[in-house]
Amino acid sequence: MTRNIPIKVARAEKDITQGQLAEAVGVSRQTMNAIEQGNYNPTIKLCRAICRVLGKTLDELFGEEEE
Amino acid sequence: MSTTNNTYDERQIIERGKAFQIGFMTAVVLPLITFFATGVLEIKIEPLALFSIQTTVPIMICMMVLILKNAYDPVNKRVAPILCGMFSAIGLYLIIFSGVRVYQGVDSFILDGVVTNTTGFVIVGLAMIDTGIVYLIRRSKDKKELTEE
Repeated sequence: MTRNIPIKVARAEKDITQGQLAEAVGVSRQTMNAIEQGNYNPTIKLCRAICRVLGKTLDELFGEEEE
Repeated sequence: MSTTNNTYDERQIIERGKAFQIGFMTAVVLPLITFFATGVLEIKIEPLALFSIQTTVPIMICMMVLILKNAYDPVNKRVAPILCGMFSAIGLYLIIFSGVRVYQGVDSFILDGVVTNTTGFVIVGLAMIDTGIVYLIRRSKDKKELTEE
């Protein structure tokens, strides 16, 4: 699985840490880290929660990159 | 998405399921191994040693997998340090207690060709201490991940 760079970038834009984002969406920091590292595929429910907190769309954070 | 104090997140629930599977498989395989050892190889093991190994080792393996996968602690609670510390202390006590008894000549690991309870206690003790070691490894890995963030 590839790393999820958009989440990291959106997080940096909002100036929030992995822990803060994890707390806001109700998961552990390790889970948020696994999502960013591409080691875990979150459910659509969690994806939407992350998008809501970061103020981005699903496509922006989880959309497939065009080659 | 809201969580209460004692809930696990979706990744943790999946990992917990896998850990319990591993623990269950260990609980199934361990009696087969001990049956092979006692029935086929005719190694005699005292009943208490056999019982304590068969019950404790699967639980400890399950616990180690849970810790390794960061699925032991609920989202907003930390219980692993206390439990791992407790298990390690009990494990250390069992090993030291057994070691002292063997050193004093009161007990031995194998007596008249029979694997004694003392050996069982040492194996259980080692399994218990391992949880503490696994926890420390996991914690240092977590710290590394946090600094890399």
